[in-house]
Amino acid sequence: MIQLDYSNNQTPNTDTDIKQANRGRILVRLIYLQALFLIFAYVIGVWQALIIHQATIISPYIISHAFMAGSFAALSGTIGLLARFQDLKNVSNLNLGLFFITVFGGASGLAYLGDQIGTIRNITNLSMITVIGVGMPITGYSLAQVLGKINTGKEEVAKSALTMGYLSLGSMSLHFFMGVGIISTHFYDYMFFIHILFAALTAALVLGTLIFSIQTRSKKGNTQMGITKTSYFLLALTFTVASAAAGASLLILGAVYFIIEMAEIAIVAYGFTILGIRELYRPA
Amino acid sequence: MAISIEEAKKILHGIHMDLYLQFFFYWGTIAMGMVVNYYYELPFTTPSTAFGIFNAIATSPIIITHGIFGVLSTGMSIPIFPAMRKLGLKRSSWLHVGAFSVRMGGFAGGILFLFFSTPAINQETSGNIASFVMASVFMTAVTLTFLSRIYIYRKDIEIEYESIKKTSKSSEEESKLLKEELDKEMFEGIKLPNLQTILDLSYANFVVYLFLYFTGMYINIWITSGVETINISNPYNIFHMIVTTINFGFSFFIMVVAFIYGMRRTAIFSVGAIASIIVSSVGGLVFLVTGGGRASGSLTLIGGWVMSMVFMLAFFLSYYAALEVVHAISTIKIFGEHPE
Repeated sequence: MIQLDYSNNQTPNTDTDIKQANRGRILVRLIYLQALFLIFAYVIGVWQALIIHQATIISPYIISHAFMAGSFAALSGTIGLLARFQDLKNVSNLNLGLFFITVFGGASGLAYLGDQIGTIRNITNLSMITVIGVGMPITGYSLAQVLGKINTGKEEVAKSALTMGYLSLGSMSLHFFMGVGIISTHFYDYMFFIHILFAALTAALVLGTLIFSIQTRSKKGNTQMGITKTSYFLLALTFTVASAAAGASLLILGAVYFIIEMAEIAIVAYGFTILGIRELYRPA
Repeated sequence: MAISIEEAKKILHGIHMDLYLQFFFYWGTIAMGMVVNYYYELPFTTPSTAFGIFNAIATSPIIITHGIFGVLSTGMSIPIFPAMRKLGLKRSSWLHVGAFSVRMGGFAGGILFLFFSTPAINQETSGNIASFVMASVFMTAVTLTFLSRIYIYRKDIEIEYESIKKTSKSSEEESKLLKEELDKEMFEGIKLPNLQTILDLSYANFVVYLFLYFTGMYINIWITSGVETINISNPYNIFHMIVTTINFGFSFFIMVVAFIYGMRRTAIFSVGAIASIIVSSVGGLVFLVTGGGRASGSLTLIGGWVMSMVFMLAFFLSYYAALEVVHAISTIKIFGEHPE
């Protein structure tokens, strides 16, 4: 496999190199799109579950949610296949696995549309949040691996910041899962406790990622890219804290509005973490 | 080969034309079959005799049309046998013998279905079995015909290879022509193992199509009998919808890869398949949300008919997309590895 570098100061040499580079770029863009569909599917899903409640197959919320989730699934499989062609086996296997998990999540959604009883609703909530939870770290990992592959030979990537970024995505996904577990399982107390624990851990890890990216920046010089990199992680941290604040408000004031706010703000933190990971691969 | 290359090319051209026609007739068979399924009712006065059933068939234009398409699609295998034997395509000709034979079972199934549906007999289970046999052998015949085409494509490429070898005046010219042919199939540097992966995925998609077809037929024959309503929460319906999602996913993967790697014809066929799957799914949703039964109104029936007919179009388009990949793999294997 040809290792490519198509950064700003180096250009591909041959036709094949250019084509390979373009395919690498396409894969990166597909991952952005995949993350975007994950976010929208989650946002509409939360809105449907907490505000709309009644689900029918012709509801615009359900159709939009199904479209977003279906596109996410289709992109996961496509990324899996394309990654295999570019010798990225781990990325390929993870995304193909994600495709099948998403199909399972969709199946539970269909069952829920037909029969909206408590048990099926809970299974649907948990299976769908599992898709989101599994999808978040996989998109982050895929992005990092693909960027790593197409940028081989360039300067050293801030590995500690990257590892911390992975961990924060993992923690974020468990935090989400426990959040849904609170309303969908009988282990309310445990889920609540673990949910808070992972919220704190996520905030700490995003802070860690921010600090590591600042340290890398100061080693390499203060450039525009370095500022963007830290800005994204700073925004991720801000939204994590804002989500936690909404959670605290919910406990104190008890208004349902805060649940939605907490859930919808938290996913924005994921979006900025993904953008931050991309910036880690840009030249400082 | 006992025949000349020119003659072989001519015969192959004829086989391809016959096969295109055969697939058109296959499609017509399913399209009219589903019209029968949604709209036809056996007259209450039909006696359970051979003449009575013949009369019922002869007096119904939609059953006659369905039958004509069935006969034509089955009959298209007949002129293909001798042509294939001339080219030494034994496996392909046996596959067509198989397709032809199973379709005979399909005709028997159709007539038995009418017989068991007559008021005097009125055996629903036997009628359902006959109907399911008819539907199953139809798909078996389509599958056998599809498999036969893989060997035909290989033969096509072998003949092209021999033609270049014989007509080239020098070894340089021969290499140049071989390289030109090979370049057409190289799809901008995609490697052979990756092409094989796409083909494997196409075969997997083919299996998914079969699941989709058989679950659809099962629901139509055993659960609704073409008359009763079906709810979205029915487990068979849920399974059918999940399989549709996987089918869409696999077709989508093939389409994107084909576009990115410049496999133009595969990409075009896959786009058609994707569009057809979307239209078919919309038809299915219309069928479900407007009642899901024969008595639910004309919109329900149109939705159901569009779902079935366009599904078959998607299936054929995916099949042609897969054949293009078969063509590329065979070319690369026969013409030799392309220098990187």
